[in-house]
Parts: sequence; structure tokens; C-alpha cells
Amino acid sequence: MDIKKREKDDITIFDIQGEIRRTDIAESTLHELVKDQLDLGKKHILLNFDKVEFIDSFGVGEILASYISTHNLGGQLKIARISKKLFLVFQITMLTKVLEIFDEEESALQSFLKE
Amino acid sequence: MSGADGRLFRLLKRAVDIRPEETGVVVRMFFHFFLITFTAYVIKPVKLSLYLTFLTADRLPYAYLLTALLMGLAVSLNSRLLSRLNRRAYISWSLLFFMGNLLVFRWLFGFHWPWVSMLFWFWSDLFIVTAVMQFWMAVNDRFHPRQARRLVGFFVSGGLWGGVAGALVASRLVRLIGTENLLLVCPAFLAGAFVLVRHRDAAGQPEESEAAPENASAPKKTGYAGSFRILRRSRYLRLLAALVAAGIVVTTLVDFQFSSAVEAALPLKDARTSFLGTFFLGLLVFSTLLHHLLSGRILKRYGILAALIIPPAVLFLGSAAVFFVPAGSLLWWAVPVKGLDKSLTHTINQSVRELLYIPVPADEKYKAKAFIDMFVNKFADGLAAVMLLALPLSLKGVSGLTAFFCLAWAALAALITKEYAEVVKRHLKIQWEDADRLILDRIDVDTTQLVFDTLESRGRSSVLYAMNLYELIRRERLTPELRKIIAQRSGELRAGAMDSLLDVDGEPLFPDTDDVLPEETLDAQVREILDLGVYRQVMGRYLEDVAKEAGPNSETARMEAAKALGLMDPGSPLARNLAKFLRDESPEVAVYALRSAGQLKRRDLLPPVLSCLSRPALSQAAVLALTEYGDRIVGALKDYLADPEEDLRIRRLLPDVLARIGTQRAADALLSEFRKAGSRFEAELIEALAKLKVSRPEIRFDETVVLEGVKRQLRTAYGDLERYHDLKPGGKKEGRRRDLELMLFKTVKSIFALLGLIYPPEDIRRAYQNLLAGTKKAIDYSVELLDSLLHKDIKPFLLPMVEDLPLDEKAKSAGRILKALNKASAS
Repeated sequence: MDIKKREKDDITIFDIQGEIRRTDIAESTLHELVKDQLDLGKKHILLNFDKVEFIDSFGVGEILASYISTHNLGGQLKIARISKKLFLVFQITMLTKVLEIFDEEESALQSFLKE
Repeated sequence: MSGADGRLFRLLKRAVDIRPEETGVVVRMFFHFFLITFTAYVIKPVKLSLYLTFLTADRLPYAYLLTALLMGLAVSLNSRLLSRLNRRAYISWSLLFFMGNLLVFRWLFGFHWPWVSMLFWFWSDLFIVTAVMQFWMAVNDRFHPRQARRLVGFFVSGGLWGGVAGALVASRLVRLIGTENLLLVCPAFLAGAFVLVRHRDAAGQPEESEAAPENASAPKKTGYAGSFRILRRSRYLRLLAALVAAGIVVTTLVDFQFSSAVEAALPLKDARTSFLGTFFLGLLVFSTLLHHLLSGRILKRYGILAALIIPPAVLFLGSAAVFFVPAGSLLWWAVPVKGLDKSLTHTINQSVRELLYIPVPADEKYKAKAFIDMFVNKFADGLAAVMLLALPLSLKGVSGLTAFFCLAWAALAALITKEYAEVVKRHLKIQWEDADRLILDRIDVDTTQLVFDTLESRGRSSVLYAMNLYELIRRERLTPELRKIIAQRSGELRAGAMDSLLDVDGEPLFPDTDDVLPEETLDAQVREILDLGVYRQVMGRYLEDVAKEAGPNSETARMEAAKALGLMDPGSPLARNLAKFLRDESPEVAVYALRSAGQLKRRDLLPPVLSCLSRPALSQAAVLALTEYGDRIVGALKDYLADPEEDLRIRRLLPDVLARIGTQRAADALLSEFRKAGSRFEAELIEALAKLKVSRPEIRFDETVVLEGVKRQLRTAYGDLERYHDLKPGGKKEGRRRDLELMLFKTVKSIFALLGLIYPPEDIRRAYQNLLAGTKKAIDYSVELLDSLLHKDIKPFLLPMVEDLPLDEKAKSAGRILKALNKASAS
């Protein structure tokens, strides 16, 4: 898994690439990276999964932990470009009712600006 | 019915269970048999007395043997006559033939040739066997099994009275006119039988031509080989033949002992004839008493097996008694043993033997009966004769041999009784499948409901749709056929906002491409996510918020939440929220919650699930949810069912839940409630018990409790029938009569449902369906099957309820039967 960070209009965007698995050993987990940004006072987080090939339950746990941390600090965490497979899993688990998921990054960014 | 016939019917009704339309033919057949046996009982003492005069008892085995050998030829001749003449002509010409023969024999005896008595021995056997067989063939032709069962006893008594009269005439007249001249009396009586046969067949036409081929030609080929082949093919007929043979061997051995004793004690011909006539008279009086006092009762109360076992058992004891009798008093031993043999043969044994022929198909029956009555009988005589000639046995030795054959006879009786029920069953077809059974066999109700939900949810919520599809996958029910159905429906419902995500390249969800998760990976991933602590944290808040909402705007969200909770682990703290959804004002939300409750099976959810039984829109889903809980809640359901404080609407549905759970404990709980007389849910309990038995045939029910229940139902039925009888037809209360008819129909249905719990359900279903079929033949066979199947305690009360009689006729005896039923129940 490779995670790159960029910023746009006060929104921190994480571009995630590859596979998010429990077995992957990375320097920092997604949740740790999000928490670092929250510590810096950045409360608008967008996770872009455009180049994610696979995500397991560990990966979903990382997304949810990031969501809770952001939410607890009054911030917003949104998701864009997830695969159909993951969207299906989110629907079955009803996470689509809690997480804000967008087809495109642009529409996600627009939604931050509207609020 | 004319006035004379009506009076005759009322008179006969006192002696026999007869129907008005049967009066004429029954009277004629009674007298036909009377005249045949009258003649036979004049001939019998003459035959034995003249044989002992000219050839002595030592040569009796030769007579047995010769008769046996020649009787084979007679069978063959009889078969030819059967194939060439119609039944009426066959019987008529036979009677004329025998009348002529009697005159010829009288003339021949004037020459004192010893061979004439040997020939007369054979002839008299031929006459008796042929005439009696012809009579019973006519009975089989004319009547259906149930009719025959009612009337056979009456005909047998006609035969007994004929025998009594014949023996009386022989014993008194012989001292005046001598032994040989007795033969001149007989043709006059046979002429009477001839007239009755001609008149009966001209007057009475059978109801169903199939069962009464008297006026039709007999089967084309009825030769010895054909008859033998029929016997060889059928285990039942083989057993029947063996049973008859064993009885005949015993009779022949007893006859030999008796004849030897008579010869030694009475050397003078006419005195011997007179003694034999008196003996046969006493024998028949004894037989008549036995027949009237015991025969019918044994058959009715104890069934065929007891009636078949009694003769060999009694004769076994009689044979064994010879070892305790002094040599000089052998006549005093031989007379009662012979008397017992003959009286049992003429009463119980004959009645039962004729019954045993009844379930044999008509075309086989004639051939087999002719073969058994004329050939097997004589073969057994021959076997006994060969044993007597080959084995140098004293009278006591012959008794040992007799005892051995009595044991074989008893064993065969046990075997054929078992086979009898099977043969009757084969006549009754199952005409339609039970609805419960059909559903169980062919339809998976849960899956159907889920498919319906899946299709329905597609238009409402993509989340619900996805969850329903996921559940189909998890249950391994998403078959290719089902995918196709859902795909077709999806095409119609493309308006959903998430179509582009749910469909892959325009194909419906879960196509066979690599672009989607394999089904097993999807299931594993979903489960893992649902178990995550962070998931519970995220969703906990959401679900609590949704559960607090009300009104139509959030209905879909509540449905989704209720559904999602069912996917979670039963121990998940989130599942507690389900109780709120179970009480949701929206039936659709509550139905989803009920399904989830059924999946989680949490005990704390049981009270709100049970409460849903009282809401008509939810009751069916609540029943299914409770069924999912299974055996673990049987105790709680039993308590609810028995608690009069509980909501009636809830209690009324619990029998169905227990039936669906379908365990032995569930069955016991149902039966325990059913045991309480006057339960408000008796109909529901019976329906549930029957349903449970259909789905789980291995479940056992306490026979005593079920039989008590059957008696309760019978009391209800006869009570209704009594009320029906009190209401005059056609009046203002015609509507009430129709109501009672309907109630009676339902009660009888319940009775059969209960019987199916303790007897083979297939047999009970067969019997019930054939009763409903309503044709005379179907009802008769059905009643016959029930008669051979049911417990003796309920037979006398159930059979009158179902037999082929107009309801008004049944109603007449309802009060009497109800009284007897109450008396039987009280004791």
C-alpha cells in the first residue's frame, strides 16, 4: 500500500494505491496518517481510493477508525472513487448510511465547499 | 320398496345389518345356502355309514386319497365349465346334474357293490365342495367387501339351520325308510335351490358390473395351469392355500379318528346312520349357538387374527387330550373333538375364510377359489391319507400328528392376517397429495419470501436490495435460475440511484465475471467487518438514532436497520436495538425485524416477537421467526400456550409454531395441551399435530392420549349427528342441518388427522381419501382397511360413522352409539 498526501482548498486528500491488507506492513497506517492531520488542525479529509486494487476488513477498519477520529473532533471524512466491490460491501454493512461516498473526487471536494 | 318387502326388511333388520335394497337378494341367498346344506347333511351320515358297512374304517385313507386324486380332474372339468357357461347357467346345470346323480346312486346301492360306496364317497365330496363353492362365489359376485362382511354371518347361519334340518331329518327318517332311501329325499330340496338361483339372477342386478360378473361369461381361460399360476404369483393366495390345507389335514385326521371310534362302537348300519345324523344335528346346534354367541363378536371385537387362531388352538388342546383318555372310552373323546373341529369349521373358520377371499381381484378370485376349494382341499385330504397309510400310527399317534398341523395352521393364520391388510391397501390408491406435504417437498417458503423481498426492495432501497441479495448468497440459494429471475426483474427496475454500481457493465449483480468478489470472499469480508469494534462504534450511534425515529419518512431507514441487525453476531450489543424495531408502527419494518430476530435467536427478544403474533399483519412473520428459534423455546411456548391469562390471538398461533419446530419436545408440548379436554384450540392443535407428523414421520405420539382424543372427536360427531336427526329435513331449520353436516365433515377430518399420528399415515390418508371419493367400492375397501388397522376400542364407534350409508340412516343410530361411547369412555 502506498499513500500520498496532497492538499486542496484546506482539504487534505489521501491518494491510496495498491492493496490494503492486514498482512501489508507499512511505515504508517491510514488511521495514523489521518490522526497526524487532525493533530495539525486539518479537519477536512478526503480519501481517494481510485488506485486501490483490493481492501480487506482491516482496511475497512482503518477507514472507520479514521472516520471516528475525524468525527470526534468535529471534522469531516469523505471517500471518493471506491470500487464497485467495496461499495457493495459498504451497502451490505450499511456503512453507506454513515460514510459519505462520491463517484468522483471533484464532486467530493465540492461537497466540502458547500458545507 | 313394496309393503311386503318393507315388512320383511324390518323383520330381517332385527337379525342382520341389512339395507332396504338388499332385502330380496339376501333372503334368496339365505335359503339357497339353507337348501344346499340341508341336502349335504342328509348325505353325510349316509356316506360314512355305508362306507363303514361295505369297506370299514381301515380303508378310509383310500377313500380320502381317491377323492383327492379324482378331485383334481373335477377341478379341471369345473374350470372348463366356468369358461364355457355363464355363472347362472353353471350353477343351475350343476344342481340339475346332482339331482339326477342322487337317483342313480339310490339305484346302484340296491346291488350292494362295495365300490359304489367308494364312488358315493367321492361324489358326495364333489357335491358338497361344488355346491358350497358356487354359493360363496355368488356372494363374492354380488356383494362388496363391506356388504359381505355384514351379511356373511347371516348366510352362514342359513347354512347352519339347513344342516340342522337335514341332520334332523336323516336321524329320524332313517329308522323308518333305511339308510339308502334317504337319498331320495334330497333331489326335492335341490330343486328348491335351483328355482331360487334362477329367480335370484333374473330379479337382481348387481350395482357395479365389474364386481359382479355373474351375467357375463367367465374369464376365457380358467384351466388348472392358469389357476395354479395365479396362486404361484401371489404370496397372499399361497398363504391362503396353505392355511386351508393345514386346516383340512387336521380335519381329515380328526375325521379318521372319529370314524374309527364310531365303527368300533356302532356296528349296525341304520343305527349308525341315525347316530351320525343325531351327531351332526347336535354338532350343528352347538355350531349355531357358537356362531350366534361368539363368531360375530370375535370377528368384530378381536379381528381376523383372533378368529383365525382360535380353531387351531382349540383343536391342539383337543388332540393333546387323547393322552388322558382310557382306551374303552375313545368315542367319548372322539365325539367332542370331531364336534369342535366341525363346529369351528362351520362358524368362525368359514366366516373368516370367506372374508379372506374378498380383497382378491375378481378375475383372480374365481380361479384361485375354485383351485383352493376343489384342489387344495383334496390335496390336503390326500396328504393326510398318505400319512395315515404310510405311518403305522395308533389313534394317539394320529393325535400327535394333528397337534403338529394345528401349530402350522396357527403360524399360517398369523402370517396371512399381516398380509390381508397389505392386500386391502393395494386396492386403495392415494388420490391426491396432502397440501402440507406438497409444500414441504417442493417449496422452500423462506427462500421464496427472500426472493420476493429482494425484488421488492430493489425499487425501495439499494441497501436493502444488497442485503437481501447477500442473504441469498449466504444461504446458498442464489441459483442460476434465481439469478436469471432477479436479472429480468432488475431490467424493469432501473430507476434505482445505485444501478450503475450494482450492475457490472450493464449486467445484474453477481454476474460470472472476475470483476466481482467471489461469493465466499464477500461473505467472509462482510462478517469480519460486522465484527469490528470500530464498526459497532460507527453504526451504534446511527442505529440508535434511526430507532428513535418514526413516521413514513424514515421507514426505509428503519427497514434497513432492522435488516442489518439480523446480519450481526447474536452477541453484538447493537442487536439490542432490534426490540425497538419489533415494536415499530410500520408492519414492513417490524417484518424485517422479525426476520432478523429469527436469525439472531436472542432470548431477550422472545417477548416482543411473541407480541407480534397478535398483530395480524405480522403474525405469519412472527410464526416463522419463532420457528427459527427452534427447540430451545419449546418450554416457553408451552407455558404461553397453557396460560389462560395470555392473549388468545397469540396462543392460537402457537400450535402452528410448535408444528414447524417439529421436534419430539414440540410434539410432546402439543399433545400435552391436546390432552386437556375442551381446549379452546382443539382444531388448531389437531391441525398442528398432523402437520408435524407429515414433516417428521419419525416423531412418536402417545397412543393413549391420541385415542382419547379420537373418542372425544367421535363424541362431538355423534352429538352433532343426534342433533341432525332431531331436525326435520326441508323445514325452516334446513340451514342448521347443513351447518351440522359441515361440522361433521370437519370433525371426521380431524379424526383421520389424529389417526394418522398413531397408524401409518399413508394408510390413513388412503382410507380417508377413498371415503371422500364416495363410490361404493372405494368406501367399502376403505372401511375394510380401517377395520383391519384400527384399535378395537374405536372401531365400533368409527366404522358406523364412515360406512356407506345415507346421513339420515347414520343419524338414527347416533344416540345409541353415543351412549355406548360414553359408557366405554367412562369404564
